[in-house]
Amino acid sequence: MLKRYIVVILLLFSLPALGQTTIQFIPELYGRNVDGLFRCAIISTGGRQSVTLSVVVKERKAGTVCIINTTAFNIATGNNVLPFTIAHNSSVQFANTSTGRLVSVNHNFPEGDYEYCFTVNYVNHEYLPVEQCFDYTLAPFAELNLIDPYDQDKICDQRPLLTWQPLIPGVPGAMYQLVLAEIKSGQNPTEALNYNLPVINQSNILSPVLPYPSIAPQLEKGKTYAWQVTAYKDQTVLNRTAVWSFKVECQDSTKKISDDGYRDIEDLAKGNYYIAAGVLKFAVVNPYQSQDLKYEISSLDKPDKKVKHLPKLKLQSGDNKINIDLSENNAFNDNAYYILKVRLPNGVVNSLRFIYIEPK
Amino acid sequence: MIKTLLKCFIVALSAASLPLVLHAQSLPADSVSLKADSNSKKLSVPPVANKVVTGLQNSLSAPAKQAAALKPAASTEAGKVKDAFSKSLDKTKPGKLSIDIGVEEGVRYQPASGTSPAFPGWANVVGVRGVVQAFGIPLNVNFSNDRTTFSGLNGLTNNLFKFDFDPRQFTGMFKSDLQQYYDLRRTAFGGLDMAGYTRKVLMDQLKSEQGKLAGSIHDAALTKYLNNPAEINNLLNLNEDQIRQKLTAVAREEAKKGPVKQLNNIDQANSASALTGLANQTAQGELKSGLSKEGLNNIDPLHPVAGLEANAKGKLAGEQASALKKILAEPALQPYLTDPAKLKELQKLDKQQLMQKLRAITQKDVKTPQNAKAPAVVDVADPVPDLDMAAVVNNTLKENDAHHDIALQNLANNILTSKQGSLLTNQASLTKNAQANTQLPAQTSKDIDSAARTITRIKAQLQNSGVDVNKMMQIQKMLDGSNGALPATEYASSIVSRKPGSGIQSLFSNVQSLKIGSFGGQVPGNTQGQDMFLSGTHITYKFGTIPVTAGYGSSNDMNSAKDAAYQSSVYNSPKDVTYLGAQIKRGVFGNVKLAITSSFGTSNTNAPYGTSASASNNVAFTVSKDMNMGAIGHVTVDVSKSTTLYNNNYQIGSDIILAQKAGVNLNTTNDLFEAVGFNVNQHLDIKKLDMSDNIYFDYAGMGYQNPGNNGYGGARKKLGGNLKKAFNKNKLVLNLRTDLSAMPISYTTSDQWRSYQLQLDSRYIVSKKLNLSLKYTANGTSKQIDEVITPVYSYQKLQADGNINYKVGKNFTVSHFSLGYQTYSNVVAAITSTTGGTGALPAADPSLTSNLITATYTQSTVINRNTLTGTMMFNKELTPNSLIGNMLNADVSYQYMLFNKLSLSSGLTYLNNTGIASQAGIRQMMQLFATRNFDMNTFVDLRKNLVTPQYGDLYPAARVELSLKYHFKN
Repeated sequence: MLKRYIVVILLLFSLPALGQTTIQFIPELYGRNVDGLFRCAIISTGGRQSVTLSVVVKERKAGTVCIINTTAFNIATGNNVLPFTIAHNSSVQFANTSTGRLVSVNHNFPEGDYEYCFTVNYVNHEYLPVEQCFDYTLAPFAELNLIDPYDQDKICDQRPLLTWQPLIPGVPGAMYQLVLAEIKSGQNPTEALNYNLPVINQSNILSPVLPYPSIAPQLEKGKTYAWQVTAYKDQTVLNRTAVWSFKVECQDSTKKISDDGYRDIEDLAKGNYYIAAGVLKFAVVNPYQSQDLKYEISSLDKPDKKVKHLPKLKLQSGDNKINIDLSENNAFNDNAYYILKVRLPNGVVNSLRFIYIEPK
Repeated sequence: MIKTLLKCFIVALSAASLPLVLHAQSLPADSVSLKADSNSKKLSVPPVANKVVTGLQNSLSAPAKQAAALKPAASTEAGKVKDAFSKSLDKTKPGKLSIDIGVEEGVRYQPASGTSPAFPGWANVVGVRGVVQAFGIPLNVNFSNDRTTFSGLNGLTNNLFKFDFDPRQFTGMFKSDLQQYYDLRRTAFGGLDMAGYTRKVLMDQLKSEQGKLAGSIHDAALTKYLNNPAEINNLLNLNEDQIRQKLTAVAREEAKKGPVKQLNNIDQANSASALTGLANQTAQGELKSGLSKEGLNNIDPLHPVAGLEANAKGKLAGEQASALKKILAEPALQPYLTDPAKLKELQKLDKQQLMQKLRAITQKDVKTPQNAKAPAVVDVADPVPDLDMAAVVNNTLKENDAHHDIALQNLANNILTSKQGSLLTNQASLTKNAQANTQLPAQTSKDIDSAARTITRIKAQLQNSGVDVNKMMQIQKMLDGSNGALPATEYASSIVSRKPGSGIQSLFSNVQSLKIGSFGGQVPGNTQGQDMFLSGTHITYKFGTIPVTAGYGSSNDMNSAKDAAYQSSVYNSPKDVTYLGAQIKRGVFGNVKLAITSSFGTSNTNAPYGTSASASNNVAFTVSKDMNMGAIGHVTVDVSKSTTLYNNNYQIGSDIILAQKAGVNLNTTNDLFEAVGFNVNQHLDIKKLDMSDNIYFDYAGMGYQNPGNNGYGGARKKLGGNLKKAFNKNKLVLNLRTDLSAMPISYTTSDQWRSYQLQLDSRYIVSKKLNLSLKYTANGTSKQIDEVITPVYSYQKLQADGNINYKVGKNFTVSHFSLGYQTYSNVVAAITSTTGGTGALPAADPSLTSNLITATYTQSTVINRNTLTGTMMFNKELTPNSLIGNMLNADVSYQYMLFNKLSLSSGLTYLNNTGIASQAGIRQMMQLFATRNFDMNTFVDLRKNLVTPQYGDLYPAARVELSLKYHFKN
């Protein structure tokens, strides 16, 4: 009977201590490195108290990895986040094992089965210390990589499918945020993401893929974009990819020939060599009805051999600006000399010597 | 809804007006300083010296007293020329403050159901971006407000701002001497060369003077002489007095020739009338009147020339005569002239010695104020502010006084010729001599005077604006001598080499990069190749041939608007980074880079984003060597060693300290490979084969931690590269890229993550109208535990793209299509979703495998000047597990112009993601180019949900964007 009383009395004494303080710690988020250990919270019901906190991290195989002892700080009733400066002033000791030494250098816990034990010690009261332990099987994150579009790629699609590697190993409740911003002049990709209003800033993505959001305006041709994916849980960044960039550019298909530099074929014929960068450009006046342009091109080396498969061109009545596209004809060699003979509608034949330059 | 939109616009506009006002306030200040600056440059002649110069200029015209009436007109004319000339000269000067800045206000409103308060529906970013150029130094400026705007907090300290100096832009502004000369020719000389310009100014001036003074004619010979570019070139090399003497000599020479010719033809019988006729012919008013009043009567018919000359030149010679009189009246000279013994002594000297002697004797005369008005040499270098011009004038000008000199010469000649000892002290005889030598028509001497002044003034102005006239002359001479091309001499090459244009420019010419504020960039010695985002300063300065990079900055994983939702990060902890690097290009080491980088963990106490890091100091020392290996290409090798130091609170276990005291050094950082990283990079470009490759290998030991890397460092092994090869004149290009990496995750076993990434990309240009590309991507990660490799995740994608252009009727049309197939499997470690975020989410299959077909088709047709575009995107899942789901996304839009200033695009959209969302809506874009300085962009996309979307955040029903851009440029 007396024993029971004693037990009850002891329980009554110990209840305030047990009841007033609990420690909150999420090992899957914060148990990954030494700095994370300071991101625990102390929930107290016992009013304003001065406390110290000690943390012991143990791994099943490696034994104790590190011990942290903080200086005294105050907690109040409710949820207490550790003061930001506490990490700076705390003493952190590492075990003299290979794991301990490497953690001391690296600050990251390697893979293993961990036990994180937090002890709150009261400075001015004789309350019993409160100890709470958390277990977690830790595997460090693999690198988070972007996949498609590849870094510095050129793509034609203005609404691309954006793909990246998933967060490995997965964390329940983790999601992705994708940020994509235009790189403006004077910026590098990292600056673009930080300075500009992103075209896409999409959170809550579950799969490691995002079809270009239908609601966003499409990407513009000729512009370069930077993008980055962040894996996060709640308000904590878990991992980030490197910042990649790509350019929206459809290959030369819409390249237009500039509408200038047309000189009369008769003037050109009088001159010396004409330089044709992929295209022959000249002007012809046709006072007659519209008809086909009669012309032939031959190499200066072999004047008798005519170039075949030249485009068929029509002369309209009046002024004509003629473009003869040579770049698609394989008969033309870079920096070689050719001669063009054009039979004008009035029967006059003009010849024009030219150098062919392969357009870059 | 509309209310919210309106609110958004109002907020946007009010926010936008803020930077505007700020700018408006700051602009005038800038422009004031600019004005002050350019003014001070224009008036770089100090006030005192300036007075003297004006005085001198006035006194220059004083000898030609006859031109008194003409002077004001001429000087106004000269003033006009000067103004225009100075203005155009200013254009060629560096050092102006120029601003080319855009202020952008971007507002987006995208409400979504189920959005967490951390990701609010609207975002507002105010940005300033552009180039400010002060004192010839271009600086990129960038400003952006921070995430605090998102969370509704006011935190100015979190705004991002940077100044960034781009040396490429800068060296583009450097000019070689040759370029500077060409610029001068273009802007200041109106396309002419220097001699040509001077000639033009002179001719214009002579013409305009002639116009104002009808009846006075210019010396034809002088005009001809001044119209000769070669002679002008010679004159430009002379100083003002030399020019005057040269021109006087020319005019005199011609004066001798001209009249003689004509006078020889004069009819002896009727000489007087013939001479009057001649005088009329030449129409020199003064000569004519001189002849009619006195000269004609005195002319000796046998020697008409001498008499004519004497009369014609009479007035001008007065100056020389008076100078001679003064010399003869000189008390110091009297003993020499009167004492025969002393005169004999003088006669023993040769002419030069005699001149010196005479100068010395008459020296002290110089301080009389009358002489201080004598012409000064104006074309010396830039006036020096502290120089007492009056003193210079007093001491030196006497000697430069042409009249005085000529008088002395006459005297010397007389002394030497009078061998009999009976010196011709006869003043008349001396004066006559002087007159014989110097008399010229008044108009001619005036012209000579104004020509000399003009040439000197042009030179002085050029000098004042920092142009080395002599160098310009040399360049012109060189160009003239070699038909416009420069000869291959060292001097010629020094002329074409680019040089900074001002002192501050030459200081900055050693700066290879400068960044201040929040900037992204690679920290020297980093082994990751990624940019860090730092707030601080970065500078690369070239000391001699060694560029030294130094910088510091604080880094925090959460920087800007995009990170608004986060409060902490386990990816990166806040730290302060300091670094110092140098590149030694020559010497025994060859091309070697050294870098030391250190970081110190800090606490970011900026609530509510406070994050903390333990206090430890991490240092890495990196040596990198660049080698050109010929056939192998360029190889770069980096070797890096890292250490972690602790402050007092942060210590290793006491047993280690005991062991260290006992002499056993267990410090892991001494372990060679655990705290070492190295990197080999090879690059080869074979142009002949249209091929290039790039291979890298990275290694970082378990204990290696580089402060210049992002994220937590640690062990890595990476191998990868790319290979690019072009075939058939670049028509087919193959590009292969691979990255393999292994990341150890245990300090005791060989457990690691292994991942690979591969992309094979081929592009084929079939014709100008059609090009195709085929791309294969593979990516995967596996886990190696106890030597057993288990694939965790893999991804493969094959995609074909085509781009074709053709005509539909008369309308130019472009089509783009792509067809892709991808497989995705996440065997072990899929993200298992839980409730949270966007409401109830279905738990994803932990062993997810998904096959997917994607197809997109875009066609745009140009109709008149407007474009009709249709886009369709389609995804089809081939497996029950869905990654995206079956999705159809289509839109049609028509783009057109209104009033030449308004570009609009209207469209219809449709989206269907089976079982998840279905929406239809309208889209409207408007772009207004109001003025050169302002444009506005609006984008509105409104949708109606046909079913309630499952992920409201991914499928919002509205998006409104407003972007305002103001552009300031001076």
